[in-house]
Amino acid sequence: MEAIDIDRSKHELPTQTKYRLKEEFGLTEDIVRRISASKNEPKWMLDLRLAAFKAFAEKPMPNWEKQPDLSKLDFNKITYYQAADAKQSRSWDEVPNEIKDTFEKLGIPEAERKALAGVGAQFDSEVVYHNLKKEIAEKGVIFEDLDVALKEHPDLVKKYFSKCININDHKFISLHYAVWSGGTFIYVPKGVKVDIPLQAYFRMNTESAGQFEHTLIVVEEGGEINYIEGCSAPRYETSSLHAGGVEIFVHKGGKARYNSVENWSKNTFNLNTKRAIVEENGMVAWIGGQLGSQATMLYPCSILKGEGARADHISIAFATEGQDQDTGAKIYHLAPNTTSTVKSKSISQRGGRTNYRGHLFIKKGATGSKTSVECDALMFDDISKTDTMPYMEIKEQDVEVAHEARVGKISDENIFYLMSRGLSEEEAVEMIVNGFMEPVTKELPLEYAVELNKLITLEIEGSLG
Amino acid sequence: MSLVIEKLVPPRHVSTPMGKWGFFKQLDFSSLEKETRPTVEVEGITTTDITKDACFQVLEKELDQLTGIHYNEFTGGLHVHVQQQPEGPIVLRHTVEKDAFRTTLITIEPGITATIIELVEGNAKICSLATEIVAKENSHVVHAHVQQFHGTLLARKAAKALRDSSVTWFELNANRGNTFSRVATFMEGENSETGSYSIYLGKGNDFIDFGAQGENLAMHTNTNLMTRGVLTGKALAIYEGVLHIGEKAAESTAFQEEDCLLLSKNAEVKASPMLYIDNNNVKCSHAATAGHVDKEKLFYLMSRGLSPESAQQLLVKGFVWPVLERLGEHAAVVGPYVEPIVEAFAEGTHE
Repeated sequence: MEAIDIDRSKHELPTQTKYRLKEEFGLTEDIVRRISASKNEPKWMLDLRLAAFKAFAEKPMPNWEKQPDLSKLDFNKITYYQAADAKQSRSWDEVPNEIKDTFEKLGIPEAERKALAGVGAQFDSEVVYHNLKKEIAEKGVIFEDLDVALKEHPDLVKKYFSKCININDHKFISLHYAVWSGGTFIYVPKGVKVDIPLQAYFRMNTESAGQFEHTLIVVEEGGEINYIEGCSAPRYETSSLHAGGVEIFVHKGGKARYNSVENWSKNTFNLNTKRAIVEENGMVAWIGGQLGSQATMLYPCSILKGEGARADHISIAFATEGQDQDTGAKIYHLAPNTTSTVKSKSISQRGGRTNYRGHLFIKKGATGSKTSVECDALMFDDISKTDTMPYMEIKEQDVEVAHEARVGKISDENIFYLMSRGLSEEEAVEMIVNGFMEPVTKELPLEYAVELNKLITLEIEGSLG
Repeated sequence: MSLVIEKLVPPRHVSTPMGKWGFFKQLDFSSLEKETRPTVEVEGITTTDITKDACFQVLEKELDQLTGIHYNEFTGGLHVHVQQQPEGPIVLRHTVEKDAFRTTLITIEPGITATIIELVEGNAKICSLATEIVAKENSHVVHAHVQQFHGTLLARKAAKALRDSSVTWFELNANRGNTFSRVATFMEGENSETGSYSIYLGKGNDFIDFGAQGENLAMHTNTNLMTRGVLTGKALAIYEGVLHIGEKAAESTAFQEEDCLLLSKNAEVKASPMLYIDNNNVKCSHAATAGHVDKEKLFYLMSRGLSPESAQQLLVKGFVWPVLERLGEHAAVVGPYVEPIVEAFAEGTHE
């Protein structure tokens, strides 16, 4: 599978004058109705939003053992609604210096920087995007903004929307369903294998670079898709909450790969929900990197519904000063001969904290199921913290369940050895950390992996922030 | 003086985002028929009776509802004060025929090595047994808890390990009914270490809620937890292992292993091995597995002439013995109390 080679230098855009938009804070039923009205949504979607809003208002905040501190999250200080035709009001001057420095060090081109910082207007990748669209459209693949897809393919969207993650599942997904806006819809017809990875990056514009985007991916029987969301350069949002939703439906024999590297700015609460339902002999792979944000609570979930279904979770989390990355995997084996693997790597430094929180459930009758969970944590100094909190419920005897975790620091002997071969201490640490992350980065498309490695190296060197 | 139980917190149990695991909340302490005096046979040392206020040296009485209830309903306590090197193992045999709330307080003076075997048998609604160990500097204690109780057993074990000392716990749970068992060691002294080696055997409607905890609070401390269970019938086991490395515990290590063999369709295990690490200069890991008897191994043994029943029994015993073997030279002393029980259970797994 070849990724499209994007010539980023082609997209230099002139700066545009901005004007201040009056921002509305807080969430009321009225705002939910206005969101729906401004998008001209069908009644069922409005009803869904209102039911979700009610659930959000009634549900308490989570109160889990050792969960990240959510006390600074003030629902009334967040903007949930921006008029569809309003332009981004943020000016480049408002963007924090640390974000600008990161762009500089990663070599991100000018126009892209603005889009990432929410400053640029339409990020015009029309040329590349349209050619790609034409090629896959010929096969019947739909790759569209979810807002647009709701209008152009209403029956298809209605069939699947919110059927993977229920609107009542938890407080933040209820909020998400009430105010969702933007996001991606991908539909892969029966037997179609999409060779090139599809990237949300192509459509990065101010509307969809939002904090409540919903991604809906449907892979019909025998179809295959590889999707890439986000990028490792930091995303700057003044609104400090990201409560997105990703729903993936994999039908019989289908394959879906979801790659996502999230690096929200350090004022953000990242409370995303990702879930896949996998039918007979289907496969889902979640490949993710969690950097940035002050607190993350993210547990990609795979429901192995059909016999022979499979899920692979591969992730890396990085926490530095002031960050609490609480991530993990939820896997439900509901049918016989299902398989799951989890490879979770985390790094904490300068007082940051990472946590692996997993739930593994094997239903009675899911005979022949196999699962293997491996979570490893690297700590750089004695003020950083890491925890591992897996929960396993095994209700079937004819299974093979294995779980292991390792925690430690970079071995002094290893560093000494590399230095004795001529590397500086920084280079030695960099090499060892890259080796530690290799199982994850080798699954990412190349330019992503390079960017991720570079970013983590910069974080470790202390060159950032 | 009586503690107000409602003001205390429930004892630590696995608390997942989806809900809590365990049966403690369902226990009824209102209609107890308590013993007037505990019956404990002691061999190998002279013990003294102690009051409830002399107990709770390691466990705080207001730690949680279980310690609070144990304090309020206290029926008797024994102090095992090991001041000189004992010649052989110290054996305490508890017989429980009525509801009991007993404490065994063990103090080991510096430089002494002791092996203590605590057995509990009997039949009652509730038996709450607390064992507290204070291992002073450079003392080494091996404590084996062999449980064959019918009813609900609430076993609470905790140790404080001072500098250079070691506390090795061994537990065999062959109870019929419900077991709530917690074992914890607080390594407060540098260079102290602890091991907890437990076997649980469940069948019928047994409900086992087991938790092991290692608190590495000082430098150069070492924790090793190993738990293996065999479940058949409709037995349910919950396991929580907590390895906590404190901020000051540099150069410490902590390992945890939990394995469960499920021999029947209705047996169930829930496991939660946890790591809380607050210092980076450490080595920690854990591993957990669950599954059934390896079919290839069964086939191999049958091809050598064993019946399927004998083959399974052999594999069940082979699964469990490594836990006993972790006691090293002390396995020979503890073995005779443990082996017959395991053999009997293994033979019964075809019922």
